[in-house]
Amino acid sequence: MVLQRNLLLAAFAVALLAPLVLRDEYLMHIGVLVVFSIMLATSFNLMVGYVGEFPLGHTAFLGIGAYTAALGASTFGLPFAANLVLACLFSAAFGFVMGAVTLRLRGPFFVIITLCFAEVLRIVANNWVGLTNGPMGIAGIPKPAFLAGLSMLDQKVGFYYLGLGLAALCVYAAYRYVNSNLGRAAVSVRENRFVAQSVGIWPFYIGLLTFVIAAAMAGMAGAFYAHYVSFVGPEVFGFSFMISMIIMVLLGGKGTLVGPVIGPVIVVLLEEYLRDFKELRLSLFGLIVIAVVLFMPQGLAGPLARRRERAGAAKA
Amino acid sequence: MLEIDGISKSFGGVAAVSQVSFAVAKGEVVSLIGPNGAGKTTCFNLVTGFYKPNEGRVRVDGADVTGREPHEIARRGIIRSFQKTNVLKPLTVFENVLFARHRQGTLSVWKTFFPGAGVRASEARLREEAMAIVGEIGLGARADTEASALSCGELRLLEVGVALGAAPRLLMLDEPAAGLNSEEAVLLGTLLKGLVGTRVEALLLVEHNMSLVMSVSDRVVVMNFGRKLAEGTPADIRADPHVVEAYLGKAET
Ligand SMILES: Nc1ncnc2c1ncn2[C@@H]1O[C@H](COP(=O)(O)OP(=O)(O)OP(=O)(O)O)[C@@H](O)[C@H]1O
Ligand SMILES: [Mg+2]
Repeated sequence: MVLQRNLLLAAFAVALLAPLVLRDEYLMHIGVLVVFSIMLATSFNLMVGYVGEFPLGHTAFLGIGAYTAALGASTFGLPFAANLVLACLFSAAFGFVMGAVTLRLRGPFFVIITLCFAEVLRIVANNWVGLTNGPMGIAGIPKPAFLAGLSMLDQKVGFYYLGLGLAALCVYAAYRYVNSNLGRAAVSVRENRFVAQSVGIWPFYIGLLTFVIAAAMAGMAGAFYAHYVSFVGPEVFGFSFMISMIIMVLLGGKGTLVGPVIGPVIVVLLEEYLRDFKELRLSLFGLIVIAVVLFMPQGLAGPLARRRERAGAAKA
Repeated sequence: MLEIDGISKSFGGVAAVSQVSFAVAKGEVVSLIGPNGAGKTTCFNLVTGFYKPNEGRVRVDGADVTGREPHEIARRGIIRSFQKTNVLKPLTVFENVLFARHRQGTLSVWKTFFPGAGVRASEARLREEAMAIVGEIGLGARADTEASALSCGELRLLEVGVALGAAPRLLMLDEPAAGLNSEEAVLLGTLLKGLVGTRVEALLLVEHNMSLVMSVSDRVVVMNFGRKLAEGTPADIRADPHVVEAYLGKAET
């Protein structure tokens, strides 16, 4: 755990300094994608890696966050900060409802019903033209006020630092979670829910709490995305975001703090690198997933995955 | 502190437990014995909420808890171990006891993410208590060993440790001596005896090791084919012809 924390701190330091060296619009764009993906992967990992359930409809929270911000900005003219907070709250509330329904189900049923939730939201976004502008989506979401009037490059750098701060917040929250009574309970539910129950842990409650926290993180990522891309359409609920989340978490290493940071870096870079092979790209990603599942089931950070709680070290 | 009143449970027509009643009082060590398939584990599951009884009532300190969820019953201090194992294999010995202490360390969500000095103190206390339990079960030197690397005897001790971690008032152990040699069983017996009145208020054991049962128990309840066959002191039970018959088969014919 100490090793993982130090690695994360080192990565954060590098990330802070990166824009000083990489003064390039395209590279900063990639940096923004990475920090955005870290928020998503960290959120997804809380459920997959700690509670041990696989919410295949996790994009629901990304989408709700994105649409909340889009509507907040376009319809109500709210500033970025307000949209960010609202996106977290709406996603968390939706996570509560969705969790209360789905966490009573186990295994494949949970997986499928969460997917249905995301699909229903996608259909609503597609068809409730009055609210969401349907398939046309909501365009022209303004940049945060503090970026107004800056050059293109400086805007990207600003978004990068903003995203980095938010991603760091997510990773810090995950760190606190994992090192708390709550995270230990989640791990016990993942390992053996009967044993967890026998010592007084309520798996449903632990799952629900984690789901709400993860939903808030994904909603935050959605709001950030909306203001960065300045356009939100029904595809935020779609499966392609889901696939990247899955690959990033599995490749990086589920159930670790470092994994959902390594995964996004590799996947985003790979995606950009393979951009020229448009059609091949997805097949290649498919092969990567198969290879990871077969040969590295614990992911790249697997060796760090073992929660080493030294008996002596009393840290909170 | 625990009263079981005429509980029954059947699985698709097979009566695993029928009309069983007994009680465990504060300060007592009670053993539940019987041949394989007698319904002992099913009784444990009925008491701790993992199964809902078809009929009958379970009371804890006079309060009816029949049909409650397992975690609710555990929160009343009724903590059971599982016959298979209640240890989480990938975690270390210390981590196993620490997670079991969950109920002693519950925090508000806010404090989980914004811990202050109070939280740090409570976390430190939690770790201290967990370490004390690890020491008490005699695994102090193995605290940072993964549970999957423990010997059978150590694993049995850790199972008791996990249950103790959850601060039981009534500790229910399902075959804690399974797979132990007689020497290790005696050691476990000494450990268990020492728990009553210190760490736990009462002990309910399911056990096949008769010398362990006879040496630690105040009272013994015998089951056979889902029914209660006899109840009494170890000496009574040893002398009871029905019990001898159930275990050894009819002497005549
Ligand atoms: N979940 C279940 N579904 C169907 N039958 C069950 C179930 N649990 C127990 N039984 C049956 O109930 C009967 C009693 O089983 P139980 O496990 O309570 O016995 P036991 O006394 O603990 O035996 P052992 O000493 O072998 O552990 C057995 O016939 C068993 O097959
Ligand atoms: Mg049994």
